[in-house]
Amino acid sequence: MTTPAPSSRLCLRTKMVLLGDSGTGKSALAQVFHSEGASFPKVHMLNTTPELLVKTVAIPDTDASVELFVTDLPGLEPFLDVTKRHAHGASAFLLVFDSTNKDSFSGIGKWLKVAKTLRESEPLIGCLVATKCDLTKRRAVPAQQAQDVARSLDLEYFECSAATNFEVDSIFYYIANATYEAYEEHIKGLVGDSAS
Amino acid sequence: MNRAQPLASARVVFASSQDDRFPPANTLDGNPRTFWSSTGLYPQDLIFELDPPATPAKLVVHTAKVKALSVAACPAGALDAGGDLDPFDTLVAIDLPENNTATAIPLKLSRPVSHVRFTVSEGYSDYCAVFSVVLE
Repeated sequence: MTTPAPSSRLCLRTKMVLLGDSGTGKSALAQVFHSEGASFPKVHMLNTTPELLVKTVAIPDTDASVELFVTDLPGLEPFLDVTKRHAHGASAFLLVFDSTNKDSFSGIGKWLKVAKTLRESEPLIGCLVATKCDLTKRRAVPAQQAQDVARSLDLEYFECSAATNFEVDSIFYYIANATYEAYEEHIKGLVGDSAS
Repeated sequence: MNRAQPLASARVVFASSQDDRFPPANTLDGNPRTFWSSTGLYPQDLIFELDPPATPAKLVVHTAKVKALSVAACPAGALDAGGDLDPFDTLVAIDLPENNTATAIPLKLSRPVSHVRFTVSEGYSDYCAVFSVVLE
């Protein structure tokens, strides 16, 4: 699932953004996915600028691949303007909260608002992601509660741990698959129109 | 020469998106049902080569979901001269309504051009499509 066939008949590109409070593990998530688990930042490096990580994911049982432009954005309040500007043009987002930090979970309302301003026309592909799930003893947000919130917001829910590379790939594969499906819908619409 | 005739000498030499089911050549095949589709992100480019170089009076495009587009042209011989990094001169930039229909874009060319670049800078959706491009 990691390296696409060289003769991909279809190369899709999508920009996705990581939103969430500072310290929730957005950069760790992006870097672990991008390096396939090789690199996990053990020390928290505060993000003040957007970081772009690009990785191609193959869609199983098809000749298609999706190039994910993962935009890791700063979560601190003073950088909100920068974050909003760089999130422009995205078609997918991850709302990230720290499963051991209740405040970061209550903070997702603010980030959801940012996600909604990205565009008015088509709905974006969105996921609610709980990080640091390997720290079970320090768990502060119950999975059921987070799942319910995700369902009410019409978002896919994921629990992961960047430190142990648990379920990190699933999140990005979900985004890639959803992107592929949206593209096929677009094609169906065009073929339908031209046939009429 | 009858100006209303489409130029038979055009072919696509560059497209910024690839879906083998809907190749860029579909824009020139004269079939209004076939199309080329972009595969995500903007801007998207299609570059047409005119061999021999010509002076088309207008570009008629039939598109879908295109919001803002621009047309640029490269004067004949500019590429061989090898001077400019970007030999394309932008001729026109327009916005289209959400319901794209066939759009005629007049080109004010004073001399023959060897390449015409069609750029979609913004779309109404993540993906856009071009059904046909006719240079007249």
